[in-house]
Amino acid sequence: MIDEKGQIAVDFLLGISLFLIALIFIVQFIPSLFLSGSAGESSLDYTAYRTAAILAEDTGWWGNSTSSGTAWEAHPDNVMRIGLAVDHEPESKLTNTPNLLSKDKIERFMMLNESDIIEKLGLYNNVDGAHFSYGYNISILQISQNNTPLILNNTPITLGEATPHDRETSKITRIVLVETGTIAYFDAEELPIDPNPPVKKSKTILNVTGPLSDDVKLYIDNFDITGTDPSFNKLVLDGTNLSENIDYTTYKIVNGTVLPLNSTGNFDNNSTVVFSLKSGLFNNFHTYQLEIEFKDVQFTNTASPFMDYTQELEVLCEPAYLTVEVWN
Amino acid sequence: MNDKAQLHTLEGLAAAVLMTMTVLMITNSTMMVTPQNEMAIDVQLKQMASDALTVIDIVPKSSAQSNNAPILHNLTACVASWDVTEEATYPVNTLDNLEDGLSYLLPNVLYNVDLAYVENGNITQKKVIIKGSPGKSAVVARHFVTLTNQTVSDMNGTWNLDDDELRVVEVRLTAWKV
Repeated sequence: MIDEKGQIAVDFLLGISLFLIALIFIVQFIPSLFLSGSAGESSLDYTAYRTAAILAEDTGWWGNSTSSGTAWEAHPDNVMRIGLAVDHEPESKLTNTPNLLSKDKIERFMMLNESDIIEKLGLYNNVDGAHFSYGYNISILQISQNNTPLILNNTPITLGEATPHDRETSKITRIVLVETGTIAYFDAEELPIDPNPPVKKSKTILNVTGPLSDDVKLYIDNFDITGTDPSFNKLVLDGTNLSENIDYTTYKIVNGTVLPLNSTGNFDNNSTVVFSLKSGLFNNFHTYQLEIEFKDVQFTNTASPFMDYTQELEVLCEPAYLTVEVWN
Repeated sequence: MNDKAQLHTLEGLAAAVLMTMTVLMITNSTMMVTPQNEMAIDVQLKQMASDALTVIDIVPKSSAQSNNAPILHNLTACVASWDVTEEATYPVNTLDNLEDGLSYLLPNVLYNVDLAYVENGNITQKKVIIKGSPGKSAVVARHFVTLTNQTVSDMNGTWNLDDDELRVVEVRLTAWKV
């Protein structure tokens, strides 16, 4: 007689097979439901975060077979990585100023073609070896101008397309300082009286050595006020009167607030008076003499030589928002 | 042989199909949202808070005085100018120059700022800006500044440091959205 102990019953075999088939089906089907609900969006989150971080904190990198460095804006054909952070010491190949963005790098960034930007910043999804580009918008917005795009060299700093309203997007905003130009700060006590006749104590003179690529921005404070109507009269460049709003604009800053100032407006000894002159006035290799005439203000320095705008230049930085928005 | 309470093959099949269909129906009809977006908002707020302190810390002196933002001093100078005897009590803040900068950079965000430092071997924590009680989603950003007697006297502060003394101060920004 055959011993039937220890045999698997057909019922059991069928039951366990059905159970396993059902289990495998559920395990395979349900995770795909979860994935479609969240993973797509979160990969957009990662892309937006990574792109904003690398633009705000990294200097970028260029390299060829013989050399490499962080000044990729000077080697646009050999860009390996795009970053906008300033590198004051390129030989160190490090950045110690994250969140401070270089004007030169931003201007070069605006000139790159779209495929380079997508490739170098990784703004694509890799599905089975095929690249699907994300839609993107990268902008630098001026906080002081109601979040409108910053303008450098007459170009609004915004790249990519307008944000679509009919689909999910992922957006990251970083607060950055942007180098927007150069300025020179002068203490009115140190500025000399213009010795050219007719000598007036309310007139000073400044040398400006050309050629200049950026607009001239003069900041003058600490005025010695002598009358009741302290105001600015006129600017004269190499003997020629300059035209307000054509050759230059002027305004005043009082306790951090920018206020309008024209040639008839008053200021006080808490004010910083700002002149912004067009760089086109200083195109030649030549030392220009800029006379600045005020009313009810006196300059006291008679002895020192003329001061030179170019030697007092410093970088002007403005706070701004760097926004990166991506979508499928 | 006792056959009671046994599940037969066809019944088992029907039960498996029933369970699978139920699970499918529920998963299809329910929107499954994992809390990724909330995490992204937290990350964004924390990043903004940290950036705000960094930007105030690195603003060059010339730009602080001349750009269009109410950031008149960098973070070190702001902390140096603080009067150590004046702790903030809501709604009076005691570090206005820092608050001007933060409210400019972080509109629509509420925040408190504390200063923490070691004094005579003890950790001291003082409130300097109070905007309210932090919500559940509050995030904290920290930045360290180093004070010397020179930086303090330049800003007319009252930190009372020796000429050869360095004081490391942690600026702790707690930010949240309402």
